[in-house]
Amino acid sequence: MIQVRNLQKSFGSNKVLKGIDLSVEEGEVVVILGPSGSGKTTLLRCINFLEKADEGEIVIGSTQVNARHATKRQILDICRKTAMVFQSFNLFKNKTALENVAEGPVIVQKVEKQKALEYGRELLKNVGLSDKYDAYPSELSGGQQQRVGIARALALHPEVILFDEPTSALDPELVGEVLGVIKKIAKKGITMIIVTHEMSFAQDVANRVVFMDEGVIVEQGTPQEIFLDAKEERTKQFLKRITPEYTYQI
Amino acid sequence: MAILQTGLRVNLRYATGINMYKFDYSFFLHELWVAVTYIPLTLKLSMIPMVFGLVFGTLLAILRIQKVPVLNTLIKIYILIFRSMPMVLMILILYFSFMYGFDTIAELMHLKIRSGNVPPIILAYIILSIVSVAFMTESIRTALQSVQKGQVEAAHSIGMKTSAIYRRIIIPQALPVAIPILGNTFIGLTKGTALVYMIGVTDLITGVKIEANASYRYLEAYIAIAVIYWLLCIAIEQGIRLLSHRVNAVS
Amino acid sequence: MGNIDYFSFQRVAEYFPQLLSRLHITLIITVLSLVIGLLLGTLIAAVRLFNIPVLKQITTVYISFIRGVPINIQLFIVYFGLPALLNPVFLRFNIDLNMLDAFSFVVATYAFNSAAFLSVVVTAAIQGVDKGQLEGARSIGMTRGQMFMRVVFPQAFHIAIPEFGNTVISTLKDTSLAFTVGVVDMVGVISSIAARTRHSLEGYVGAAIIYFAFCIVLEKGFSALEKKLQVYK
Repeated sequence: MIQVRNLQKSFGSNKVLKGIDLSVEEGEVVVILGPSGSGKTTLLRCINFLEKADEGEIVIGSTQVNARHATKRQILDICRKTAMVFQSFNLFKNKTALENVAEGPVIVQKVEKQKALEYGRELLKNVGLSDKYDAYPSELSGGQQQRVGIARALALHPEVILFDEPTSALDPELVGEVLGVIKKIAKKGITMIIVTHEMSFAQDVANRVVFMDEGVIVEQGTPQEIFLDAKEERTKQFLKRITPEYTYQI
Repeated sequence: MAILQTGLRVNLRYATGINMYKFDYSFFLHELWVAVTYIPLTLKLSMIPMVFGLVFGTLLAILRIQKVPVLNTLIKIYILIFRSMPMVLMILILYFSFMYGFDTIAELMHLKIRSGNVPPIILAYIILSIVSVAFMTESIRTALQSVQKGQVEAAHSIGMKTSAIYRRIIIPQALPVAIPILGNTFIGLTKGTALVYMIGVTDLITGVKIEANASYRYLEAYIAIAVIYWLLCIAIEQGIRLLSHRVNAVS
Repeated sequence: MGNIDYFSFQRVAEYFPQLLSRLHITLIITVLSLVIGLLLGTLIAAVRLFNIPVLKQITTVYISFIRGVPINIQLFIVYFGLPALLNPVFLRFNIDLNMLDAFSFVVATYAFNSAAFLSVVVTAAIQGVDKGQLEGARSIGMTRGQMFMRVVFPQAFHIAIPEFGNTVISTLKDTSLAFTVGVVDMVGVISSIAARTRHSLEGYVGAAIIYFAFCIVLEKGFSALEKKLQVYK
């Protein structure tokens, strides 16, 4: 279980997170929506301490950390309980697809190398890359790189996987293959927090949708509640702007 | 004959037999002043070749880019040789070649004049210019080629002539890229002037060292020389930075 | 007319073996100073990357000095200055730096010199590693040490190759000035040849050819190495 309490973060004089409270149950898939600049990505990056929040508390499983007093050990602990899928993939350029996936288990979790490689192959097969084990990231398309990124995250058996706009950097024709993989693993009961702009995907995959704007959570609920019956004016405005077809389609 | 300095046969350490060195500050200041008086000469030695380099370097760079047959290959070889050999050897080889070539021609034409009558400073200007053109050509070519192909194609498409394209499109756009590269080359040339004493030019180094000959206080002398070169290079660097800002502000 | 004998290819060929017999001195100076320079340069880079106060300012001045002063002047400053500066300490241990021969000072100079240039290369290479790579490493829970060894170092190494190659080549070329403080390397031996035969031009041409060959080989070697590692650009 993941809990975020009163999380606050400023960049200079710009207050990006104004006290976020969020809890995610085990096996739950939470999608965070919101206009750009609403703080979604920052929230995600504060959860695994890629950004250090100014204030607030983060609880992941048995680890409870106060952002302000976080020690190096605690931060490392949080990092090891989470995994992230980045917008720009961030695969290790000097390692092959398989090495990328096995890197975490071997180096961080000290799994035996042969075992890790074997498991890595299985994961890559699951994301449809059984023919790309030895390819370097530079030899892969964006969609393929992102699927390796997802396999790399899965390999760690994290308590939660954080997806930071996983398809925003992709050419339109490659978005589908990545969303497909995410849907597939969502069904396996892995806890996920996903920041995305893909509305129909959000509706499909989410157990719960969280709408953020200007550093606060405006509204949350099931996809039904948010997409068809939003309570808040800001949410309605946003959904109308992003997906005009929704109001007519359903 | 060239004054080739091969090692310091005599130096303070053995001549005086002292192990502890006391730095002579007043002598150092004196040497610093001597060095200052040689700044104009040093600047002339770096700037005249620099100007030659800019003019002929631009010419050769354009010949390279336009891939003029034969000339392109010759320029390539010229640059390759100068970039792949130590500058000191280039200077010495050019020096002897000039001297010997001069004498050969003079003898053939039954002239009385000999290479010994040519002031070394003239040779220094010529030699450093030849070196400078080689370095400048490469720097200028890099800068010119940094301009995107699309820019040139667009200019062609509206019917501009090649000369007009260079004047109105390529050179203005290449300038911001060129300035730091040319600046570095200029600093390299300035440091290269520290070699001309080897071909008999009474330059900053010779002038300052002469003063130290009597007392063997070479350490003070060389530090004075270093300080002046250092300041010159810092000044050039700052100048480049200012110029860069100007050009970037305009474009 | 018959006494015009300024240049002959035969003499170039004749001098060649004599030059080659001192080539090892040139190469030893280059390799030794690059090894020491790389160690020292990495140390300087660390000071700059970790932003250590005072030390960082000192390295800035140091790099600026090395860049702004001709190498042959640096040679003399080290040659005269190092004993003057350090002898008060070394004499206590009964070591007189004045007794060292020119070779050691030449190596020290080129080491100091390449350290400055290599520190810039190392700093730029490490800063050149994409930030996303570090985030990727953190996201899978690597410690800082693991991050450096597994991600930053291998990638920085690749980034550094071209500039490192340039530094190696320019250090090799700079060794041509070692003769000015009396080291009898490939260039130094020319003056003794000239004293015997009264012909030095052929010696310089020969030395230039050897330097040329080495520079070309090094250049080709480094670009081949870079290409070989290109796969993960």
